[in-house]
Amino acid sequence: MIKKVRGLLLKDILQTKSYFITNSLICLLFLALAIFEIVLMFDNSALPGSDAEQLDLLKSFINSSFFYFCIFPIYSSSGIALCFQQDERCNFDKFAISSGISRKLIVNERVIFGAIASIPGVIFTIVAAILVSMINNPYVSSLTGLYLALISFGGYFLTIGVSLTLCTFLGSVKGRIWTSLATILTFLLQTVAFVLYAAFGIEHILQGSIVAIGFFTISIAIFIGAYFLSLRAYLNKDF
Amino acid sequence: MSTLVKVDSITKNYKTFVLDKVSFTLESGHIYGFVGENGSGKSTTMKAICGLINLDKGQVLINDKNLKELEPSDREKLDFTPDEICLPDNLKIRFINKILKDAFDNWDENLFFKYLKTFNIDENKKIKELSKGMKAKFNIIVSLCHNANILILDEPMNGLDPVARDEFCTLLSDYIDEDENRTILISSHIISDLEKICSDFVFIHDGKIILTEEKKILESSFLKLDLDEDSYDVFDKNIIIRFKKTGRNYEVLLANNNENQSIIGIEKASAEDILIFLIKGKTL
Repeated sequence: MIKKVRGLLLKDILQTKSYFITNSLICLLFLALAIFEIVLMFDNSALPGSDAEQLDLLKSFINSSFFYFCIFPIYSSSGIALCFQQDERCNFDKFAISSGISRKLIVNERVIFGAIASIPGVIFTIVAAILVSMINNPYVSSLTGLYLALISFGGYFLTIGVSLTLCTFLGSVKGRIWTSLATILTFLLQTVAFVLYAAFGIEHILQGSIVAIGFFTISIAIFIGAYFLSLRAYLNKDF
Repeated sequence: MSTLVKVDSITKNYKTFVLDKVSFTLESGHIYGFVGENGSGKSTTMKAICGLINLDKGQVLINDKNLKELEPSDREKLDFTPDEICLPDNLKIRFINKILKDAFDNWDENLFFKYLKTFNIDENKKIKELSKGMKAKFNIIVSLCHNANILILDEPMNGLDPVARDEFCTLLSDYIDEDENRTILISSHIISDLEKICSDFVFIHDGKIILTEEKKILESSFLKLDLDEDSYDVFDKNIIIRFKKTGRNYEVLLANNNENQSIIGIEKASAEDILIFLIKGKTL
């Protein structure tokens, strides 16, 4: 089973080599931008004095930096769509299924590939979350970074689940268009979560945890639902 | 000789086409020619045998087990080869080997490289860099190397020149000769090629099986005769099984018996002739 998945993953990774390189480079670029913004905003010499000013500064940072935490989950979704596109182009599914590879295994492999495609983004998210936790601000704790990371990870689950379902149902061409639209929706949902966190979660740990853990839990629930929906559709699909 | 595949009354309804209670068996040691017009249901039947489509009715049994209940290792014993390579064409052949070595439990790497050498296929080439003939050979090599004992080949000789087709036929004949517990179902528009290698024929028309017969029986059962209009008018119509009009002339299908063999100009009907008579011919 693991050996078969390894074979299928090798195929997808070899086919999407350039995608991985681009993905990693963009990750590095955005990481550099995030570091630049943190240094610029929280440089000790430029820090405002009062707690209220510092709180406003942190809120303003979170409201402006959500983009970094949202962009990579979105980028990772195109990994799955690309994988579908490559397989459809050469009718690989037809070959694999008729040669004895189970349909369930193919769906599982695509989810795993989606996770692998997200690795550069996940690394970025973790590094960015650690950097945020280290910001010199009285309202920042290790939970601040964790919550921002949770909202970001929720985005990964959402985008992988949604793109898997859409591409399974609609095929890579239509699926990719709809995935793009769904990705914008995911982006908006994440934005709302970040705005809510900035508005209510920085000062109050409980409210912060409700927003972050709530968004993360809902995302996982949607991902699980999307997985089973895709699996069911794929098991009944005619080639 | 044992039954490796039993296609049992399979039915699949589409909006514009119905595969209607198709039944036949594939025995070990045989190569079956699957013959029919475009859109007659050949590919649909083949897809059904390989589990690529969900059936409305009927079942496919592989070694007496329902296709859906097969273990993955048993499932690998069946291989479907469409008319085009279903592998990423932007990858080098040596990487394809690595992928398939992991993906299939029974992948025979040594055999794969042996075939590549035999057919002068460079492992460092990408699939898209191969010629059409090379691609067709590579396609069948992939099928042969995961040790499937049931090969389902859908128009594998499409676009091949006569030399490549001949090599292809030899490859399939050798495959069957090496192990008698193997069988092949092959469809092709070029029936003369099928006649070279097939031991049996399955004729399909409009989603229904119209004839399943051994080649030697087919060949010894029918005769064909060309007649002009005047000769046709005086010909004994009672012995005509089927006839068709081509321009001013008639072609008639007759039973192969001593009496008919003595008719001047009579010749053996080929599988292609029989198919055309069955589909286009009329009965009196």
